[in-house]
Amino acid sequence: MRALNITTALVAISLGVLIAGCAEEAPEPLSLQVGAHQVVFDAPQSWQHFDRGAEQFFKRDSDQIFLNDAGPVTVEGFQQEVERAREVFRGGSLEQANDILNAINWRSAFSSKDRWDAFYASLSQARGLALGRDHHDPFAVESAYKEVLVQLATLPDRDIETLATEALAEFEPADRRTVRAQNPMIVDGRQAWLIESWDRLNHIGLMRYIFVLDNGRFLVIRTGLGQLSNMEPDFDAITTSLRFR
Amino acid sequence: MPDKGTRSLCGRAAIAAIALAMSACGGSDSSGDGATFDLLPPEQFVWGSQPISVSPPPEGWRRDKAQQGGLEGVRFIKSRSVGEEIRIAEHYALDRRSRCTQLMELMADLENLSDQEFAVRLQRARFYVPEPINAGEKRWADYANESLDRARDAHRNDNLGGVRAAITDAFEQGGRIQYSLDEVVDRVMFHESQYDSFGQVVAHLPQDGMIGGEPSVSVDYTLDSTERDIKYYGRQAYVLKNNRLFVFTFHGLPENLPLFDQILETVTFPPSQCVL
Repeated sequence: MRALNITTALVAISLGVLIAGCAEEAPEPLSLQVGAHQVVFDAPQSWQHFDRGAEQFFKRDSDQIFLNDAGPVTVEGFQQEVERAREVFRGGSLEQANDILNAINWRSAFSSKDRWDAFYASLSQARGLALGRDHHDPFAVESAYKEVLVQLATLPDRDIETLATEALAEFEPADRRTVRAQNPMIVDGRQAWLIESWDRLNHIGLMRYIFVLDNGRFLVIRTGLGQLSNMEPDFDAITTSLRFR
Repeated sequence: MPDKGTRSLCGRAAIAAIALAMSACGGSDSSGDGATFDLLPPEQFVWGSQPISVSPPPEGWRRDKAQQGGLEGVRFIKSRSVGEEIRIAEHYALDRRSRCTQLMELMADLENLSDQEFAVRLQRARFYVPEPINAGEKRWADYANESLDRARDAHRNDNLGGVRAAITDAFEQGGRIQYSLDEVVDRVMFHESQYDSFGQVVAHLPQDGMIGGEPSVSVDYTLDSTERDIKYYGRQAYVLKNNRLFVFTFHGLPENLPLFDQILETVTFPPSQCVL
């Protein structure tokens, strides 16, 4: 009977140690603000993390993984950003509102020069540029914001492949690298597009990008320098565990 | 340059000499019994506007860029070897004589260009042949440029339909430019002087062949290296596809020459989006 008690105690202690050990190994989900995206994911273990705001950078030896807020890319995303700029303007800062508008890369959303020219005229008024920034007419600016939103609403939606291909050019030189493969994906229930690229001449330096469409903006999960095969398990862990908040 | 008959005869003699040398040197058994190398799956490279598909050598050959002597492409260097190398590359000067890409992009962006942007893009699309490769190139380039003059005039009159028709015409005129392998290969063909600072070089006469379904010319050579006391065997093969000149180079030990030949057998030329 006593032997049985000792055995039971030993089993209990072993189980306790085991559970405690397992609990220690379970990674804590990491909650991060990547620009406008609030995300939670399983952080890669034993990687250094650098918080650069719109770019979150993980480094392990020569391996690199990034998360980037690539900004608004759809009509919905553009509209939200313009509305945000308008709120800032209404708060009294034309300059800060203009910084928001100036950061938007929307030229390619306009299919013809005529449409772009018409939009650009309204945009210039919204920036208060018609009479000079110091003498802008608040009513004219408010009216121009309205016109900008009306014109944005008439733009056609573009497919994610087109958007991702355009966004890729922001991350790497098109004349030195080329696309190896691309595929649609779903990340946390959201539309996403995977692109793998490599050096145009010798097909080395394989890099992987996943462009996730969230609320009209791209969140980009991507590799940098290093061997993709070495980074793949951690990269996949981030992608599969990632949740938007 | 010798005529094709002489080339072929001399080529066969060169192959026989190299085969004899390889057996005398105790070359790879794989070449004798027809064994094949485990090449990697075929990859499509796009260095200019004409893609090329080829199976790279097996593991153990590391990659590097080929970016010298007017070439763009890939080099495979055998690890822990005596400097053996296989190179597959394109002479980009020929690709850049074509204005196919510029004309296609101009047509695609036509409605999005300001007057100034149009003028710049039109200028980039003009054919430039200060030293024509043949008489046809000069003639068709002139016709194409005349079409582009009409495109410019139509654009000044806001006649986009006229601009499109004139660009299409320029595209067709430019498409009539045709080079032959003989016309372009002499300028880049292997010559003993390329390696004579490394030892004694003996180049054989060029021989005709086929690569990727296209006529090719290749030159075999040997290099008695003064630096390493090694006799290298080399082969440089040239093929013209869609007015683009590709070069395939082997420089190494004779037992790996069959690997080079096997790689050449995998070459194909996928359709180009830009046929001019």
